[in-house]
Amino acid sequence: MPDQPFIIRKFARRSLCSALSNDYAKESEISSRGIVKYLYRYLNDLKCLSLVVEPDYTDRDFLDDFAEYYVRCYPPYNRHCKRIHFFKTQISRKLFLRAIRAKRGSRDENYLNRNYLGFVVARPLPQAIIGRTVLKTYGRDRGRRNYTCLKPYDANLFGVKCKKVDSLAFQEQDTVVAACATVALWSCFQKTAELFGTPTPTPREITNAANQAIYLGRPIPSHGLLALQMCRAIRQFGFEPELIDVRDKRYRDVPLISLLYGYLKMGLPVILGVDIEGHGGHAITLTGFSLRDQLARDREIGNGNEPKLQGATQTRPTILLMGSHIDRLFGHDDQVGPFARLDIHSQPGDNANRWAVYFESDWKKPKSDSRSRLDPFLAIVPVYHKIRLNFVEVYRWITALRPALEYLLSKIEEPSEWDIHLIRSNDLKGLFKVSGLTNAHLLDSLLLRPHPRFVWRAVLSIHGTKLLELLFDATGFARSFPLYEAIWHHRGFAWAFRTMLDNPPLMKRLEGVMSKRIEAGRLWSFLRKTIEKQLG
Amino acid sequence: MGKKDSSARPPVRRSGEVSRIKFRRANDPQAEQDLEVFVSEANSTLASLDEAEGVSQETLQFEFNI
Repeated sequence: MPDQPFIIRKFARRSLCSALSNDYAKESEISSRGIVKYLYRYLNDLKCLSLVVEPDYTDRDFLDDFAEYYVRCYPPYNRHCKRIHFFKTQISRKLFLRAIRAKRGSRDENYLNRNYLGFVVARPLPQAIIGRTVLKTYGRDRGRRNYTCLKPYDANLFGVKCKKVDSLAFQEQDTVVAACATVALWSCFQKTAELFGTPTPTPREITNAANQAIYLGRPIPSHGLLALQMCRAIRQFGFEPELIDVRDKRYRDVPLISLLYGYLKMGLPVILGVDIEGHGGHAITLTGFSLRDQLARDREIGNGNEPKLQGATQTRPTILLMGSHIDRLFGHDDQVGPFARLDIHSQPGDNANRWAVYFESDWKKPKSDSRSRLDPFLAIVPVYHKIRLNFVEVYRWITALRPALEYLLSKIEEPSEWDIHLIRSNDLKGLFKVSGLTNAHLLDSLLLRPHPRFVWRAVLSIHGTKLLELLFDATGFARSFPLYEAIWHHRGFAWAFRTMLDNPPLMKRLEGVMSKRIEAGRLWSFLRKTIEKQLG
Repeated sequence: MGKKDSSARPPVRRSGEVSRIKFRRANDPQAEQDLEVFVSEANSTLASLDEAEGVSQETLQFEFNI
């Protein structure tokens, strides 16, 4: 047993650094590290007032790293870590001991629980001292902040069962057993374990899995992973890597922010590969987004490929995607901190051949105080193997519908919006119950029928008034006909759509919608049938 | 084309106002011409989206190393 089984301190920069320090990383030295400064700021914003240190804590992830590498090193590294718990109240030794000695559910235990903010595991290493970190997020800010990739974490502190913290575990790379890509995957797998019942591998297991790809470099010490190796690790743990090659001109018409939103909304973390100006390639696990009421930008795709209206007599209606309202992403950046902000910026007009957006975060240019650009180049979504339809394939169908919508909505001044996201069937049924559908027969049929386990849901609305909802079987495949339900929320819109479909000259034009993957005739026929069924 | 001020999203409509959304009527004399333009532009985007799959070897070999 250590000299003191626990240490209680008032929260301050110095007490935090002291708690994080060890024989190889002194308090004075670590106080200048960016990640320590970030954690101090973050906890300060959470109104942290006290910290409690467990000096002798065994951490599963570090123990695995230790057994793989550190135990064979010449310096006698400790296999035990420290765990530091944070509270938004002043804690006295007397109160803490009372809570430990009391029965479960005592007033003192409940008091600690109400004020619990989470913990940081401090590793006994010279660098990369920040181990598994589970901290509460900032508040919702009236629905603007959406931290969607969270799961509940337990912490037991001398028998006191601390309140579950909704978070996503974070850790710093040690560049020995784990590089940035490894810890990005590690965070990601924490959430996918909850979503799909898959394992939560340690960093060492991820690095080993990644190095089963054909690669002749040395696996450990690990200074980085190739995208190819990340894909190998993703497959090893039961997923398929969905890849979006952001810089490839083939993807120039894919709206990146809406694509990220489409997965994040379900709680599925996305790994964003960025090229950081002055530094290099880096992997960040996206955990949420900031959704504004007002528009964050007026275009989603880059390189001036947006349609130009030539020859039409009517004003083109604005049909947006949800990505237009997202001004910021949140992500675990192991070189910055947990839930770090990535501000989204539109590319200047003269960068016509580049992606529509770039990011800025706490990264600075070398030897400068100005912020680096983070240019996205790859998005990796570890999807459960049964999710076979991806965002791009759904977006094709939405694009095929665009001429009909542009035609019907051209008298309307206000922008209409598509909200496209992945959803689980049980969550979908939960939404039906609160959807305000007045057609009882339709509601019954939606609730009583079986749905695929995963669904792509696309909702078209104006001013929050839903017009149309399309459901795509996410377990289907692109060359099938994955659209399996259309819900006409607005009677007037459904009538107008049917009138258009009943007009032979207009239909002749609409049947000219061409894609290698979409049969336009079948699409219009399907929509007509659903209107007839629902309107009678 | 008329550019709308999109700096603020108007509040959600109350249910009584929903029926006031006016959709375009099919007897518009310019309807076919406009639709033809819309279809042609959508086809251009669809042709591009049809190519949006796969990853280049260069990207697969990109190293995440910081």
